[in-house]
Amino acid sequence: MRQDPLRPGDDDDRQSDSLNDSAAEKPSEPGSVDLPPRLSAFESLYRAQFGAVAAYFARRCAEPQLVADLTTDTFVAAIHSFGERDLQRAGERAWTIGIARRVYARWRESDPREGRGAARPSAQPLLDRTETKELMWWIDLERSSRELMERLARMSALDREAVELVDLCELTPAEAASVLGISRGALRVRLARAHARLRREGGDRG
Amino acid sequence: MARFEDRLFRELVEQHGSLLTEPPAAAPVLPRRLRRRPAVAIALALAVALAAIVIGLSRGGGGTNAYAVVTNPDGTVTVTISELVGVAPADERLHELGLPVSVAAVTEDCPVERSELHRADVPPEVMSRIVETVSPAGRTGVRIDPSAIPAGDTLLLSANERRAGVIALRELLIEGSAPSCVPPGPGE
Repeated sequence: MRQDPLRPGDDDDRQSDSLNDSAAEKPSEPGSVDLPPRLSAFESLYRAQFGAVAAYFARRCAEPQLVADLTTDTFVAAIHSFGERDLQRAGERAWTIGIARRVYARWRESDPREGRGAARPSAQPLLDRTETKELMWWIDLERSSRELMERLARMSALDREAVELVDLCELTPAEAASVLGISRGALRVRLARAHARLRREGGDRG
Repeated sequence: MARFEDRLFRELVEQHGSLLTEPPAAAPVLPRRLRRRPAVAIALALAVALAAIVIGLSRGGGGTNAYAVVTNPDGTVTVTISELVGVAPADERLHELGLPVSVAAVTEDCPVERSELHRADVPPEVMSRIVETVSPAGRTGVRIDPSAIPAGDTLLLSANERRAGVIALRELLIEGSAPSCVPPGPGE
């Protein structure tokens, strides 16, 4: 779709019944410098959601630099949209994953080698060895999730994303429905269908 | 704390932190928000007006709300069908807009064979860019990005009245033009 990929919540058709915002209550790291309130709120969101965003990209890309770039793009978009987010429409996890989803979609559309985890010319400074290890850790951590994603690849895109958002990103069904722009009922149907298919094909995550 | 996570946060604050540190009310640089708001408000008003006009034009006769074809500001089009009587005017409206999208009712006596519908071969991710299910104002519909439809293909929306007042829309990307009706599929 052509809506601004970096502005979740612009879609008036989305459900607006999700509010699961425990992440926002996470305090800043002890010892951090006193920040202005909105910057401090952004740091809370950043610290709470960094792992979810890095994992989201680590499930899709095997190159640390690419995971770093897409994670960076996501949080740059997040800081630009931070003042306009509407937590009545989506919790902070759903809001952030919504941005990550659009960043990834935009990257796939712009990169002719889409879907192959190929590198792109990086706009970010190259990672040093320690940072590369850090990102590799996320990539390794998501190895089993990538296997699940490969099994999901045979399903429709919406079924696949329904499973990922609920089972891997840990969004509530209402939040996942909001991110996908479908009703909660439709989300439940897709989720049940996908889970049944996974079970049939041998072993569910649960 | 992790190094990349920390470095990225520092860089975000250095390069974009001013977005969150400038007081919205008294900043000397005011204003991204203030500059943008009139534009956003105008755009919103125009969008609402346009949507109202399109909905007004699109509604079936007799004051019913049989269908809606709404052109969204981002270039997508939202189609909802709530009564079968809305199928033909919705289809007509889509053709007026010059979009490669058709709506056809599922009917038992449709002379078209389903095998005559040549499904276009596109990956699921392309299909999901073309069309997605939405629920505007509690009604089920689809939002379509016409620019994502491959040249020469048509997005066919088949409207099937499962039971009184309940219309199911199914989307099928086909090669060439769409028929005026669709025969029931398996289970329909």
